[in-house]
Amino acid sequence: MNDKKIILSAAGLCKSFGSRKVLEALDLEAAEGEVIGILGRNGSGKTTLFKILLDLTAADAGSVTALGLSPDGSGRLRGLIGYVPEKPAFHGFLTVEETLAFRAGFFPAWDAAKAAELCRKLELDPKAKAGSLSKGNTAKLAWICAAAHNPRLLLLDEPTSGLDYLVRDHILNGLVHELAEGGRTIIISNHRMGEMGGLLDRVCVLGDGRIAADHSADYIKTETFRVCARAGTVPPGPGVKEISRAGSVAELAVFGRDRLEALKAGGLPDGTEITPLELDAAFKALLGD
Amino acid sequence: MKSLILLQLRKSRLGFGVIFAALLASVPLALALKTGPMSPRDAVNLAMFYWALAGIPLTALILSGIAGSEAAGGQAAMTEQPLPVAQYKLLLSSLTAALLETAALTLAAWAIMGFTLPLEHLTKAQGQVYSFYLFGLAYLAVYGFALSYAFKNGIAGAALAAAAVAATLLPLGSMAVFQSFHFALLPLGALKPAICVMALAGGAGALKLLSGITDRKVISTAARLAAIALLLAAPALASMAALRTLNSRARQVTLPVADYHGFSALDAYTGAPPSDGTMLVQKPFTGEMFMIGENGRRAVIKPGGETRGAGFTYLFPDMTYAGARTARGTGGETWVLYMNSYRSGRLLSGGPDGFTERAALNGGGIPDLTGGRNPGILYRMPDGIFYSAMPSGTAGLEWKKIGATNAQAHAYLMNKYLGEGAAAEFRSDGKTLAHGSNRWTIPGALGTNVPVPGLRLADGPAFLVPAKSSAGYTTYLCRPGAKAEAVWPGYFSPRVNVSITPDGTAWAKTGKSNIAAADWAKVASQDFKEEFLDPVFYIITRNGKALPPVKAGDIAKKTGVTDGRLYLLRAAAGSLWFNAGDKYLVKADAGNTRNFVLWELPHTAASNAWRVREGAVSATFNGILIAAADGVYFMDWDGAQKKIY
Repeated sequence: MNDKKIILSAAGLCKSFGSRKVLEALDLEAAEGEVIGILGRNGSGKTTLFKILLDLTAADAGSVTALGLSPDGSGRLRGLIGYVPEKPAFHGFLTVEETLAFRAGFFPAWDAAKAAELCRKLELDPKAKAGSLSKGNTAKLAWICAAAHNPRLLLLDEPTSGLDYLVRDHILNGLVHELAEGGRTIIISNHRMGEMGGLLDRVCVLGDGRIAADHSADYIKTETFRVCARAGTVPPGPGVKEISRAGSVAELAVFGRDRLEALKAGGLPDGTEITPLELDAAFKALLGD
Repeated sequence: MKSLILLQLRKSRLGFGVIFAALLASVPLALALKTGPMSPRDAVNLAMFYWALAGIPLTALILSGIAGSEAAGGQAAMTEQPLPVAQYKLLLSSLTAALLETAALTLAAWAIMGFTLPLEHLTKAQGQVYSFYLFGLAYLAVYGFALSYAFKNGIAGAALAAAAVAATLLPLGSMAVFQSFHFALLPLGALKPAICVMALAGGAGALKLLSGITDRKVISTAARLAAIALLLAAPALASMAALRTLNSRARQVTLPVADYHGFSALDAYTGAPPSDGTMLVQKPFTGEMFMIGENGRRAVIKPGGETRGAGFTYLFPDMTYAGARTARGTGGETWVLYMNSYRSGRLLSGGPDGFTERAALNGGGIPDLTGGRNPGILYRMPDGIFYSAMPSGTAGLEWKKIGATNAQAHAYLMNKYLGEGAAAEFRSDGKTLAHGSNRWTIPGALGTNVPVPGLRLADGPAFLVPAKSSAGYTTYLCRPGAKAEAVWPGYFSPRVNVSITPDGTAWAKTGKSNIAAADWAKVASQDFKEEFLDPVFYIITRNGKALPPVKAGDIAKKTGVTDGRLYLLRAAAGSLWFNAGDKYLVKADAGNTRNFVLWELPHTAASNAWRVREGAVSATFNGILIAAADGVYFMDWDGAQKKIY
């Protein structure tokens, strides 16, 4: 990441709603072309973080620079970012075609041909009223709106949440396509990060209002392990998280080969099984950290 | 912004369409329901009048309330806020759409009325309401939107907006009406637009701050909330503060007490100088009337008073104007007759040291003071006209019936004046004027042969008589022991247009009338203020000297008094003193009025309801008394001024 150009930088972000602190001195950087997964439990502040990055919500403290601009309330920043909200909504009285035409007026780099092509690919009827679209088709429209102006930065807030497999595939294929075009930086929050596994460069875990853990995707794929042992023989600790327990057998996630080697050196009981950890299980374990 | 506004218009087209259709439908409905004698045009105008009065303001509130509450809702946040436009601009586009819809309704109603008001004449109050109408609509829409957005509730926002608008426009409207009816004490010409700007810009400013809190989730600090509250309340607070100031200033206003009959020809037959160094002053806010002398000594004639306390702010202060007639008695006392209410008067006598009530005139008639060497009182009753001379000492009035008609009463008074030597009369030849042993022959035809009021010159009673010849009217001065002397060109008579100063100087004036043809259109306009009339004064000093005509155009121009309100106050020692429009005391060289000095007078409250013939200034022997906006002043003939009340 260090030799790539940083196009998004957030430093010391704080945000509270009343007495509830949502973000506390959060730091985050994204390099050009990087795909970052933001992992966090419900209410951990993922949407708030996105809204601050989009200049929709003002941070109480801290700074953001994205694509050379800082949030100033003018909305200019949103013109450079493709955004798929968690719950996309459109004016029900406009057709898909009208919605796209309306949005085109706000984005100088809007590519009408690309929007039409995406409609065709995603099987979205341009004449359909936005108010009559199913949840899946609404998500498709949101994706088209986010992608049609060829943004260098995409913020996707649970883009596949509640969608069936087919629509999810459409969206994920779209993402792959955008990545294939190169240069796109994508930040995704998703409860099912496993389905993004192959796309991600980095996973940041949002907890206690800050980035609690920041791992490369390779690290999660190659350096997380499942350790099954008799309960109580391997105590949870830094880098060791109990995933489940069934009777006298405990299942633990171990993060980092060094940690695993240290456990081994400490003497693992006989019969202990060590296998690579599946992505979903790794993300689940990270969430529990 | 344009596409956003179009979007907002499209969002609200159903609601707006229904209301617009209702407006259009009210035309055939009005025609169907009209009563017999009403013309179709009147029926439609009446329907549009109701729309203008209630329908359109209510619609402005409804449309803006709906738009404001919708803008604060989650749907708008999800659909529109992701657009690369400032959230505040989204609100403005929504507000603009509501304003445009209100404007479209207003324009439609206006078009249905034929782009004209169906009123031949606007009263002052109607004119003020009319002048506020569009601002009021815009104000309702902006506040309806902002408050509905703030409370996320269209009904609460609309109700609060209506209250805010009422709290601003009621005081502002009442002040405007008050000032048009009474006096201009506040610069409403500047205040009204300032409050308009404050309301519209303040509403927009508050909306921006609210958008920060509601949309951008900026921390709602006490300072930010206070700023929003202040911005929204500022127009109402300013309006109410202005009303309070108006009340406070109106309490201080003093005016000279005017003759309740206005100018009367009978006033010319006076036996005494019109001033004894005092002035009759009123405070219309409380209804108080008093006499005040040069030294500030005050004698209350009518106490007046307030029922709600001296600090109370009235929405529309009720002015009580005092009308009175005065006459000087043979003993130097002043007689004052004023009307308490319709056909109920009081007669008092006294001076700056105090007044005593001499009679209560509650008989249902109309009393009137008369002049002459010994003043009297005339009482027009249903059963005839009665007269009483002013009693001496503490005696009461002694009425005697002097006739059943005004002509009989007039004849009685003229005989009285002739008998007292206060007037001269024409002999039967119509050319000879007689007064005592003096006889004057007047060339030319007389305009009237009623007794001629006398002037009190140093060498005895003299008379001004206008007479007509082929060249027009000429006014003659008839002095004791001398021939009739032609002094002034034109028709001048103390019964009509000659005034007397306290020092006995008689004067009259004319305006230059050779107006260029190109200026006649200007003359016909309402704005005409005789600005190119050049006043010329004709003056006879107390020693009987007729001064050459005195041109005072330079004084009028310099002082900006172009409405003819230039009055002579004194002529002495080669100098003339003028009251220039209650603004300046001017001292001019009688031989060359281009040489003059002027002193600014304290601000006077020119009443629109109560005109005093010669302004708020009353000359005495030593200077002038000025009934000003904040009290009574005395200024000597060299411009030294002091407040005496």
